[in-house]
Amino acid sequence: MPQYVLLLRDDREGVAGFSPEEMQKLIQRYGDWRRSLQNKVVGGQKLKDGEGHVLRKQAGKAAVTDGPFTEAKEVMGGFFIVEADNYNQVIELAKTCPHMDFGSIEVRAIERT
Amino acid sequence: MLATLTRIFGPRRLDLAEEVVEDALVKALELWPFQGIPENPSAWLIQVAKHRALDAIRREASLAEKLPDLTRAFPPEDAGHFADDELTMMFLCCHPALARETRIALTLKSVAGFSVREIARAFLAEEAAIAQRLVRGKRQIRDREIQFEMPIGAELLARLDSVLEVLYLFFNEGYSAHEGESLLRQDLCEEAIRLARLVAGHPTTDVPRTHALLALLLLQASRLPARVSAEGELFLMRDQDRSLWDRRLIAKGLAHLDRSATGDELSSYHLQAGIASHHAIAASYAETDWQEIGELYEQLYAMDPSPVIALNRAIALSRWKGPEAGIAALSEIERHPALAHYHLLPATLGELWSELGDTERAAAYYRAALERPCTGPERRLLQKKLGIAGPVILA
Repeated sequence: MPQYVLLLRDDREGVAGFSPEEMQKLIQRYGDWRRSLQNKVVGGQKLKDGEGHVLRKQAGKAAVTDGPFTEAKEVMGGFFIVEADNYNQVIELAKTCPHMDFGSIEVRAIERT
Repeated sequence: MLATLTRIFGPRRLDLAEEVVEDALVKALELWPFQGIPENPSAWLIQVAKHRALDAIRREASLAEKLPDLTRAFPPEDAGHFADDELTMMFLCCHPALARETRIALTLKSVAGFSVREIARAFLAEEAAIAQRLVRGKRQIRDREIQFEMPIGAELLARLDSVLEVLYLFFNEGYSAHEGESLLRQDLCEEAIRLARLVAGHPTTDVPRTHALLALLLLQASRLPARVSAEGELFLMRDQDRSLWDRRLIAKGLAHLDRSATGDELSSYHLQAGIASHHAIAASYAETDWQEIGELYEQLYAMDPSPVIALNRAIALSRWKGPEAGIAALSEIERHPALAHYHLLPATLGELWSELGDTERAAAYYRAALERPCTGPERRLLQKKLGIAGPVILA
């Protein structure tokens, strides 16, 4: 089955100001979402906040810039890999993701050889 | 979870425990959405919170000598203590050294994880006042060196009342959210019932009034499925589809009401559960035993002449003796300051005047109700009634 990657970006304001009760409810929503996907999620990882590097060739040499990438309004927070028949199906899955309340989701198909 | 950490660090460090619990939840929110929820979420959270707390304490030189104790105090089998810890935590927050309002606020914050805003709403109070109350409460726990332990003997029963009252308010907050689109928060009701079961199940707190409260909560919860439609519209009891009432909860509620009748104790929960039981067994709104309910409300009002009980008593009287009796009873509390923001008071008056055919007065009361805070569905219900009560120019 074709695999897709969901790139999750957010403004990193996230859950600031949430009460513990509200946080627990949000965790619940993510849990419900995962369950509703019925094993379509193949993997997913959270990327560490506030650090990272960007490499770019400048004047023939690799220039390394330190993250965090503060100039970007939205920063990539993590990704999912899901299995689906087509883009439409993935978009429907992504639409219901609680992350939509906090930022954007980029959906890309993984190219198979 | 906060309770377990408070047991470990001592009630003096309630602030620290609160802080690390929040940290742990934030961490969980970062990781779990991507990695999935771990098999034992509580153990995971406790582990993270403990590490955070330990880091914080290490930084405090004054506590450095305590470190060996603290490390020893972290047994790996924490999860087993959760229930007892929660109960003890409730009793800590309900200590008689604290003002009544402070006890309730502290319990809602520390046991149930309510935000200051939510507590303010449940109390019909200002947020700043609640925040101040919480700070004061924690300072008192620290200054008076109140211990994290279950009270015994006479003290236990005195403090039990405060615990029961907190659960009662807690449930009510879930049963009728005061603003926003969500009319009820079933999760809060379930949590209140879970904690009430915890209290009823503990040998030291297994007394008639605990069962009366649990009966009341179960009977009220039995009507939840019929209270809001799929579209989120509010159904008052008279309009509810009674076949949706949860018979299983009613049966459990009636069983606890029976157990509450052992002994000669008569608490406000006994009366309220009695009222709820008459609703639960009535075939329809019209066939409800309003006289019995009206008499129970008279007893309840004599025991606790609070404005909200007065309001409900007036409704019962209006069903038993007619709308005029209800209006007369309401006129006694119409100007009560505690009800100044309570939309149900003018909404009820509107209803009663409408029954008497005075559409003009009814509309004026419905409009007054709309000016007070209420949930979206409640607002729409009032607007619908305004349409029936007479022509209205919508602002």
